[in-house]
Formats: sequence, C-alpha cells, structure tokens
Amino acid sequence: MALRFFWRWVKEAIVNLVRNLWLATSAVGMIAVAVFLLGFIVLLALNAAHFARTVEKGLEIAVFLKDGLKSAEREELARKLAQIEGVAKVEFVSRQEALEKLRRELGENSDLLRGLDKNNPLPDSFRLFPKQPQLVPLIAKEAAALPGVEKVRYGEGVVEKLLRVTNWIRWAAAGLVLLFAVAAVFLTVTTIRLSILSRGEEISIMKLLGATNWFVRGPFVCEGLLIGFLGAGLATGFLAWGYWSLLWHLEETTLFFFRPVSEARTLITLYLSLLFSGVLLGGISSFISVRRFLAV
Amino acid sequence: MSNKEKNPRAREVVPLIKFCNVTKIYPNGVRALVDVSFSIERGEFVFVVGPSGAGKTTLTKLICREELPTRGQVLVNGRNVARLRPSEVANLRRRIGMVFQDFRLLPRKTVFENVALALEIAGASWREIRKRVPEVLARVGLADKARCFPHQLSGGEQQRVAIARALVNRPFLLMADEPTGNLDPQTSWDLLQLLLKINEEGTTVLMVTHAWDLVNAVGKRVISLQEGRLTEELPAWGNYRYGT
Repeated sequence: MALRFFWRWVKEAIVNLVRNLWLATSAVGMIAVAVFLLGFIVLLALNAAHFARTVEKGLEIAVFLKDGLKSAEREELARKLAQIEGVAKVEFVSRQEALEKLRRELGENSDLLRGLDKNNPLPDSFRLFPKQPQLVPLIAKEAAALPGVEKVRYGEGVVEKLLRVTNWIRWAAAGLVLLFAVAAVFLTVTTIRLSILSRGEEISIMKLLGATNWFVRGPFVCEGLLIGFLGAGLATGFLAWGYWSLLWHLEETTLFFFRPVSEARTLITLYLSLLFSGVLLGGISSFISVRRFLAV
Repeated sequence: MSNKEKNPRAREVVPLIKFCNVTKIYPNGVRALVDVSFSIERGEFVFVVGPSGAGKTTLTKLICREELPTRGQVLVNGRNVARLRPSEVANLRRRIGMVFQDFRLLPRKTVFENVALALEIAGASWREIRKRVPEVLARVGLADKARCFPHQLSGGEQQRVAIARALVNRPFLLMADEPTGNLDPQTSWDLLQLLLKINEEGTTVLMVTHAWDLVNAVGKRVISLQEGRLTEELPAWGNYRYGT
C-alpha cells in the first residue's frame, strides 16, 4: 500500500516535470545557479582558511645560541626549550647547516658566501615550532630568558599582524558562506513556490475530490526533490569539473608558496553535501509551498 | 458509510441530506444563507434555483464541507459534517460526485487521467482503474476521447468528463453547481438528460441552476432560494415540493 503510494508519487512527479518542461527547466536552472554560487564561495572560503593555516604553520621561532657553548650546556638548553608550554618541537641547526641553507636560498648568488666555510659567521641555533601560532610571542619571551641564549627572533610585530589577517580571512570566509547559503535558500524556495503557485487550482480540485493532504503533497515533494537533485547535480558537476581542471593547471605551474585544497576527501565531502542540501532544499520548499493550498 | 454499520436502520430513518436552521455568514459579513432548513431523501432529483448571490453555491459548499455553517447543522447521512475529522472529510468527498460550471478538470491531464484521479484518490488499484474509467466514459458517451486533453474538447464534452469523474466512485450524491452555465441550449438539454438518466439508475442528484426552462421542462422537486432564504415563490410549472 505504502509502496504503491510512493510509486504513484514518483510517477506523478516525473510526468509533471515532463509536461511542465519549461517551468521545470527554469527551476532546475535557478537552483543550479544558486548551488553553484554557494559551492564556489565555499571553495573560496576553504582555500582562504587553508591559506591562513599554511601561513600560520610556517611560523617558527629561531633561538640563536651564544658562541662557545659546550654540548652538555646545549643539551640542557634544548631540554628546557622543549619544556616551555606550547612548544611542539625543538630542532637543532648547527652553524654549518645554517650556512648550507643560506647558500641554497641564495642560489645563483651563492658566490657571495665563498670563503666563509672556514670563517662561518653564523651561530648555532634552535628552531622552535609552536603548537598554536598565537603562542609564538609568549614562547619567544620565555626562551629569551634562558641561559646560553644570545637572541630570539620570530618576526616581531609581523607575526601579530599576520595572525590578525588570517583571523580576519577566516571570519570573512565564514560570513560570505553564510550569506550565500541564505541567498541560495531564498532563491530555491521562491523558484519552487512560483512553480507550485500556478497549480493552486489543481490542488484545490484534488482536495474537493477527497484527496488527503499527503496524496496531494507527495508528488509535489517528490518533484521538488527531483528538481533539487537535477539542479544541485548540474551545479556540483560543473563545480567539480572546473575546480579539478584548475588544480590540474596549477599542478603544472606550481604556484609559489601556496597550494590550493586538493585533498580528495574534503572535496568529495563538499560536493556530496552540496548535492544533498540541494535535494533537501527542493523537497522542503515544495512541502512548505504546497501547504498554503491544502486548507480547502 | 461508517454510520451505517453503527446503526443498521440509519438507511431507512435518516434523510441523505438534512439542513437544520443553517445560517452562513462569511468573514467579510456577507449573509449567504439565513435559517435554511430542508432535507433530501435518497434517490431524489432536486433543483436548487434562485438569482445570483442567493446562496446556492454556498449550499453545495456546506454539503461537501468546503465551508462550515455559522449556525445550525448540516447532516449528511445522519452525520454532522462539522464534527468530521480531516480523514472523514476526505472520505465524504470521495462519496459525493461534484460537477462545476467551469468543469474544474486538470488541464495537464488527459481525460482518462482526470477520471482516474478520482479513483486513485479513493485508493483504487490500477486494475480497477483500467476497468472502470472506460466504463464510465462510455456511460457519458466519451469512450473515444480518453487520450484527449481537456482543451481539445468542446465545453459539453468537458462537462461530461467532469460528470464521469464525479460518477466513477459510485457516489451516493451527485452535486452539480450550474453545470449548464457555460453550455449552449442544446448541449445543456443533453446534459440534463444525462443527469436524469443517472438519477434513474439510482444516484441522488442535486442540481443548482438558473435555467428555468430546464427546470420547468422536467418537473422535478425545486428548492428555491432568495437572498439566502427559502422562498414560497413557485416555478411556472412543475411537480415541486418545498423544503420541510
């Protein structure tokens, strides 16, 4: 019985879609645009957040050691540095390693450093990696107070500014996503409401023939689900294809320091939730829009 | 209906439709019916006549519970329609065939589907639908139009489709609200003959109309309304009775 009703709903929904092809197409198109825009913004926001995280992850503290420290003293210092709250990792960089690194960074201009091998001006140092970027200034302060430390560097002033910027990026991204989600909801509800509005007469006739509310509502809700599925599917397909080809091109050009979000699990989750919310939104919009015609 | 099972004698005792001092005042203040009482027995053919705005349509709306009376009671099969639960209202409407002046067919459905809809609403199986829709279409003389859409038919044919839809669930009452209002005289006459035939086959028929010539030609009972009240005024000729 229930199954037969369900089958009727689906059949009716499909027949209605086909017979109102123009209306259905425009509704699908509207929802596709809404979902596409939302998805685009979400991708943008994801990448902004990812960018902020990448930048913050790059934060570290350089602790330069006094010259002529014995290895026992050095190890003692390393232990103390590791004990500072918020320090995730301590890494020793010898003066030779520091010079190598500098040379690598200079690349073609490494000639400048010729002859410094024997007379290395660079000090030994520790690199400290913070657990959270906000802790950098505090860790730096504590590290500076330890014996055997010559100087602590972490980009004073710049780090604080950077953290403010990354925070702002996160909030802005979240706000934008919210805004577009609301816009998408309104667009979908309005579109579906319009397509049902023209059929108010139909609904009241069915009610006068003795139809129960669910008998009338079922096909409309199915139709809404279908329109939502088609629209969101189209949008998600386009979005996935577009983003994928973007990633493909960036792969070849290696964009300086930033790599966009490309983790398959994140992206698939995003696409599926876009699709799902489109479907759900279509169904709920229909449900709401039919309700006002049922009171006969 | 369910009260038949509760009270086996209901069929003999209770009239099909009974209005007891019914007054209907719409929210905008219009007094559509004032203290109207009458009853209709099973198997009757009844005309409801009166000028526009006399409350004829309101009367039909009260019977199928599209509207509720402001005062008084409407009893259908002995049950007060105001007391029906939503599912019982749906059930009541499935057992009342309704025909309107503007046909009220679904424009995007074929003739077959329009008639089948009433059966689907009543929960009929596909096999039943396949059997009964052609039967009832043949009965109203439209056997060959099953696959047409309403806009491809003439007004008279559309109204026959509406009658087929009203009949397909074997209603205890066929209620026609100015069914000939949009039809030419010859088609109107044919339609009336069809309704009379349906009545002879056992269905109670209530027909709201302005068309005095039709009323006078067949001599059936007349309920006459004027400004919401039952009147004493008599039609030119006829075997009418007044409401009790």
